Amino acid sequence: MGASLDFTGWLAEPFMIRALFALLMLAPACAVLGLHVVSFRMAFFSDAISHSVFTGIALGLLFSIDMRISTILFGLFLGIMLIQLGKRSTLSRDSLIAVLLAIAMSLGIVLVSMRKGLVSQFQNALYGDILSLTSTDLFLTGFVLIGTIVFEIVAFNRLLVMSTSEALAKAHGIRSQLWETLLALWVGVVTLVGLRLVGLLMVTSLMVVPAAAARNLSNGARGAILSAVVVALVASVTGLAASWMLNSATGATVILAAAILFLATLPLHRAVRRS
Amino acid sequence: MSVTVTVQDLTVKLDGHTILDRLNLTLAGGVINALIGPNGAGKTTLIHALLGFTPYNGTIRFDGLDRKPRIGYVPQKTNVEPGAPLTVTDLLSAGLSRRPVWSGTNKSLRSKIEATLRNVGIPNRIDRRLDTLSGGEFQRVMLAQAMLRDPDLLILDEPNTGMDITGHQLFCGLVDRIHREHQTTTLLITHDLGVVADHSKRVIGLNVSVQFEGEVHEALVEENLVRLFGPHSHGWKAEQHAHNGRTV
Repeated sequence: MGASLDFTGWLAEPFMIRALFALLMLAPACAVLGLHVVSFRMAFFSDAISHSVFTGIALGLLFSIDMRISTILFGLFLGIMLIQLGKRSTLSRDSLIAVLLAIAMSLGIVLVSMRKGLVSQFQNALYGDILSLTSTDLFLTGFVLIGTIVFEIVAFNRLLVMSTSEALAKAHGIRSQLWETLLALWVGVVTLVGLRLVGLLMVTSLMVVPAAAARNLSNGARGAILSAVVVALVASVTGLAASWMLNSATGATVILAAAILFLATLPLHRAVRRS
Repeated sequence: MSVTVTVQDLTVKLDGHTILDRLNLTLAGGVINALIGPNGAGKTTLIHALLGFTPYNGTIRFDGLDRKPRIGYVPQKTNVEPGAPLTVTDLLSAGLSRRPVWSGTNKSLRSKIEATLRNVGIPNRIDRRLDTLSGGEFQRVMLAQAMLRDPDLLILDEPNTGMDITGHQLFCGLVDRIHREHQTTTLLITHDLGVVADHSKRVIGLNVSVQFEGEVHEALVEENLVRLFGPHSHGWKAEQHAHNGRTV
């Protein structure tokens, strides 16, 4: 693969088609969840979960289990810890996340640095490896998409009322702690599956940037979901094609495409609000 | 039929502290019952107990109902984030329908929402973003979401907080009109004794336990107010307020 102006050549490569399929499944799921991540101010939470991958990889190798499983299990463990400590601690949620993020990262780095051969796994986690996806990766990404659709059917209204007023949500009989926990866990799962594709540095951006663009393009919930999905899909296709032509890191190029779309939507914000 | 709410021996303890101590009170059916008391008196805790999300000892009875009561609630605080892509319809549908609002609102629900918004005086705000509404308009939306539940008990938790005088008076007038039309048993929590005198029939003074309870003209007297709020409420009289239109 080299830098070229061949706009369609990438479609002839099976690994690029796999990458395209994976992105077309992951990006919309991330974008829709991103609307909740933005409204519940959870971007830092998603960052902490993604950085737990260091320890997850190290634990997988230490205990000889599949690293995908160890990463997801440790990430979810961290997520549950964050939620439970958040309920009991007097520290602000941001401070608590920062402390756990520091523990998860430093523990992972210590464990990995003790085994020199693990450094390459680190690189894959940092930047993702979307061009060498396996059938299992595609299966997991499809699971994320279907799971997100089901989650949005069941949870969307509840999360909407909760984001307006927790007391009002309780008055409506919504078990807000349960739904907040389910949201956090699902964001954790999607983050951990997503970082295999776009890397831990970019996976939160795949949630936040399309969601932020959607806020500029729509006044209501329906429009926001549609806009977030369209921005995510357009960024996926153009980012993937651009990464082929520029010979650049795919995950970062997709996020850059989404960021450009976000910037393009900025001038529309006021007009949409007035409409 | 209007519902009377009877609270007997209600005690709420949180972290070893007694927040409410053996409350016995009645929210009379079909009238506006005001709940007043200093900060920390337990007013919000009482609301939470009525709504069923604070554990308590004692009994709360909704007389005349053989089903779970429907409670409409206008909260004191909301946190609609500026820039959030949510319309009035989104919020009102989300509270009523299991169908996710992103899949659209069905015609009958939309008609019901339109009628309720007309009733609260904001007929053309149905598709407006929540973050573009004025404080007064937003409170009307919250009142609409409470009324859409066709409540047996309507709880208004300091609904005038943050409103200017005009918005405040318009909102109180609206509550009066809606109350005349529906005769819903209402619990109004407020710090404004003028609002109590002008708009409620009964008043309950709360400070951990019930300090006084009764018809406004009987209970809202200086002796009770001094007992509830301390000596700085000395000199306030409901009759004087009614005569001068003065608000404390």
